[in-house]
Amino acid sequence: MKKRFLRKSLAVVMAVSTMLLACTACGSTDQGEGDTPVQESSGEEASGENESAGDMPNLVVSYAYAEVPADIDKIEAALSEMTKEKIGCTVTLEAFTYGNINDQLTLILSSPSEQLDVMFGRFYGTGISGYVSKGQLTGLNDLLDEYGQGIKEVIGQDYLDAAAIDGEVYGVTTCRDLGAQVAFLFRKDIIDELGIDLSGVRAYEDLTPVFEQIHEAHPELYVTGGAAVQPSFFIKQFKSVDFLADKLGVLMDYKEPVVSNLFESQDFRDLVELTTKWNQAGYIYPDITTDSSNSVQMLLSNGLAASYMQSWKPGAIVENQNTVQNYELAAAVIDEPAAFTMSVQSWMWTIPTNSKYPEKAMEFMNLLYTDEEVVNLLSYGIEGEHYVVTEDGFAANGPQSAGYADKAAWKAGNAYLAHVWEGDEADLYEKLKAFNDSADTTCAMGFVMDNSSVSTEYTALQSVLAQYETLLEWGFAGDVDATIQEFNDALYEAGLQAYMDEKQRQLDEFLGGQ
Amino acid sequence: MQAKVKKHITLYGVIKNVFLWIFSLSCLVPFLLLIISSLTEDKSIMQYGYSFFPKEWSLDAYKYLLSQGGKILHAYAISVFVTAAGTFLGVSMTLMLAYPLSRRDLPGRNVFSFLVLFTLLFSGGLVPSYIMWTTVFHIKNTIWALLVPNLMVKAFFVIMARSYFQSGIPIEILESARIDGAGEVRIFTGIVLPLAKPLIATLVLFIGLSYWNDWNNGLIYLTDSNLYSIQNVLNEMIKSIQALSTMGGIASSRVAMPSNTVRMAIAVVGTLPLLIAYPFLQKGFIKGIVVGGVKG
Amino acid sequence: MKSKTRKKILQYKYLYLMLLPGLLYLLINNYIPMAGLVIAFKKVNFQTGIFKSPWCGFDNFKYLFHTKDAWIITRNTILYNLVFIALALVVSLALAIFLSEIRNTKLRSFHQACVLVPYIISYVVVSYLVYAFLGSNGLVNKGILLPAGGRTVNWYMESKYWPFILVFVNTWKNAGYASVMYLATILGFDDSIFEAATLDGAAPWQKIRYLTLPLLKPTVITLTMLNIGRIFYSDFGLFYQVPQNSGAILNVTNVLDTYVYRGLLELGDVSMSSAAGLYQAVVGFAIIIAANLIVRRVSPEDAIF
Repeated sequence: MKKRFLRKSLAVVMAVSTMLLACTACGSTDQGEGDTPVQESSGEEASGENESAGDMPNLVVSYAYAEVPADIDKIEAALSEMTKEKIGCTVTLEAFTYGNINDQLTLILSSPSEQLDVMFGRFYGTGISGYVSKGQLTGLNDLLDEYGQGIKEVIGQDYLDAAAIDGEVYGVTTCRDLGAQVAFLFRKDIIDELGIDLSGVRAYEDLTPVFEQIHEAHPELYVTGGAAVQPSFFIKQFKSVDFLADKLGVLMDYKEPVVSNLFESQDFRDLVELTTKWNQAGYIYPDITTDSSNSVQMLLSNGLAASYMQSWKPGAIVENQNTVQNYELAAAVIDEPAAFTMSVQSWMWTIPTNSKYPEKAMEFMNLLYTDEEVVNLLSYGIEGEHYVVTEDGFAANGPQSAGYADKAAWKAGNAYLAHVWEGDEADLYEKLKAFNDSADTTCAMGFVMDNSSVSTEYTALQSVLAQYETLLEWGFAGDVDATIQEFNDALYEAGLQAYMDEKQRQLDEFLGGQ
Repeated sequence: MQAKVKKHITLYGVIKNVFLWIFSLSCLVPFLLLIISSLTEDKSIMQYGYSFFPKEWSLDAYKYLLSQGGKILHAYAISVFVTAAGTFLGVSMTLMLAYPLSRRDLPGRNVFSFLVLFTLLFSGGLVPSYIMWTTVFHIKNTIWALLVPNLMVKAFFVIMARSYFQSGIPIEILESARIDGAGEVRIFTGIVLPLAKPLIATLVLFIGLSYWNDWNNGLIYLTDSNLYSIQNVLNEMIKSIQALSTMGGIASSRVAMPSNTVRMAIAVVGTLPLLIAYPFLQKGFIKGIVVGGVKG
Repeated sequence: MKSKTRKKILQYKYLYLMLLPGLLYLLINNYIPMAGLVIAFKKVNFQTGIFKSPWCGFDNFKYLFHTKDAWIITRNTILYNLVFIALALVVSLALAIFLSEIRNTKLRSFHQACVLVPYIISYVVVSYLVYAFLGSNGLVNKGILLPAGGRTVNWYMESKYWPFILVFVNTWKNAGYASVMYLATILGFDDSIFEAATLDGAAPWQKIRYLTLPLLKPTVITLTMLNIGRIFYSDFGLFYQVPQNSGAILNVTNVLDTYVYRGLLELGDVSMSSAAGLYQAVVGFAIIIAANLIVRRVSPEDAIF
């Protein structure tokens, strides 16, 4: 009796789901079949757009801000005016925040009938390989040849190839700091007061005397509040190591394509010994790995810490000054700049397969790299309203500045076309270009591992990293050697060797194919 | 009943009161800390840590919220509307679903109960739900997005209500009503619902809370910040802070992030309306007046 | 026979009509998306569509089992949930019984509002509050341990404290909420029995033992069974945000949901996450079916189905 009941109930559930499954399956087949899948299925939306702008196509474009600007609708309207005239389409700006962009883009890309023509997205850590293997990004080679000549000129084939898989380009990076370097930013008043010369600092070891001096003079301060990219120590670059995106199997020397275990290396051990020394001397903010409510900039601004670690580029001090209150900053720059796949792929302009108008989308992207008006609009807002141009050609806050507060040019394609912001050095863009040119390039540029075949190992390794990595990097392990040993044992037990072997195999294949 | 209790102190009375007061205070004290820290000067939180007796008081956080005035008020209005509408629909549907399931004489009752229970355990996951709600029902960036997905009828509440009906409403009453010639609808509205006042109060509270506290639907189905509820506003602030701190310099911007105290202030602002509304709900929690009455 | 059934159904037509809106909602909101569970068995390619993507068997489930952490994670998830269920039951029952005995309505309102406050505060804010107490600069270290002459404790680095902290936070946050349901049930009881018992000179303990608890049994069984069905789930906020994702205490804070979150954070693999969801659901389903069978045998009228 009971059994029969259970079977009956399950049968009902099965029947219902199968029926529904069948329905949804039919629904999704007409989205999935042809090459122009979406056109028909969302005809309703298309007709709505036709009313508003004649026969012009409407592009949906994603963009990201720290917080969504109040005047986003004005920007959208102004942008549409420009694009109507220049490339014959209107634009809907989908504004995301850095906080929600990944969640929401993941969903949109999983729902192929939702229109998204041009996607400004964050690929840090993941790179593009996962998106490509799931069929979520459009290959750009032909589109670039036909509509994207401006992009090719500005970005150059090398940096385009840094986001290519099997020779097909999938994303275009923006003009920003593509080389990676790290600096410790100190409170300038303390450095001046103690007469410290930061120019002599070239490596982490050189920081010890600086820390010591600060600690002696200001015992009430933690010498460092941590890294701006919390909570890891490895924010972008470490000596000559290429992290290969996930730190699980790295190139210890980015000129040599040999995958090895960073955490077993002498360099790592030296670092841990150094930070442990710092930590035991009381230089490091004790809640560095567990304080999620305060940014390092807040710690410094409020007189808790004297320095923090930040990625370095020309103009970095001015940029950081925007988020730091009460104090001026001085920098100690570590090592030499180098360019890695992740520094190029972290934010890119792409065309998802959700795009209804890939050609127009590429024309729009081309504008971002060639059209001064568009770049300035997206970066600073409407001239005369959100920003004004000073006599010297700088951009500065306008009367309604708060309506478009997020004044950042690095996102809008070719930032070099934007005015330099008041307070930055006039030759900032030349310096940035020189910085990027001076950055040494990894031999694995453009390589991102597709880890779907070792995802079991990958997920297990993430837990091990969470358990040990930041703890060791910031010197919280009492017994350095024993903990490093424990860490590595756990890594190998979780399958690090298999993961590294696969990475090496893919890297060899990648380099062989080039 | 009251008169018969002796006035002298019993061990039971002591334990009871000590337990209640300890629990209540342990709930209240952190909340007090929340309120106090929202009224503290930001710098003194950073330097001296959280404190019940801050070195410097400050209204800055609330001034900041006031300067955002329109946005916060708008989000408030959305939250209130969604909570009111959602609670009304949710409670009605839950009661209407639970009552028939509580009737042991209803043919097919077990199958239906099973269908309800099944949804408690199995879900299709986020992506399929998202695809359905956005492509079939087009709720993205509409107020429906906050109202409909996931929150309205939950298996947990249905089964809870069913169990209340089963144990709280004597079958004899229903039977005598039927003999008097009352129809099912009449029995439900005239007898069952008045008897279920504590249950209705509970459901209003539970479903109302799940609407008021929800930020997930907004995160998933809204890109238009004009529709954000108060929880979405708070959540967005917190998420942006975390995102900025994990992105470091690359995504630097000229917007200063809201401070600790602002986040605390929003948390306070988000909970206060509930505390104000709560005493009104209390009216539902009155000792079962009717049961004895009908019988007697 | 047939016509009898039809007559019976006609007789209940209003009851069936009442069922309709709720069932329809569950059908749309819960059952239709279940079709998407196939994604757990697919190597998904969104361009060709979920249903046309190639099958890959149980590949997406592998990461849940083939790891040395699987045992720790499963142990943590189940043990925490068992303790949570048991403790929440005791505390919320006590709360409900005590609250129901307060005759001063104002005082009862006050207590009732107090115990509900933690539930309203979101876990992110709770994590700030816990940090306010336990941070290196926090109230416990600065306000209690130091003045008392003790040494400060680096709470987020010591795993021995965390099982207690997590159990405390969970009980603190949820017991008030859970007590509401019991309270509502108690308030629905027939007063006359209790009055009679008082007249007969029953002590408060005896009334609880012989009247309140037996009357509450059906509610207790139902709610407990529902909780047991979710034994493989855990509150992400409690296990990730409250311990501030601290590595040093991971062996006592890592549960299935946080493991999946960490593993998939950057992979963003929907197939693998829905595999995890399916795994949790199937285990919960099996447990609830088993529990229901037992209940059917012991006290048939309390079975859920």
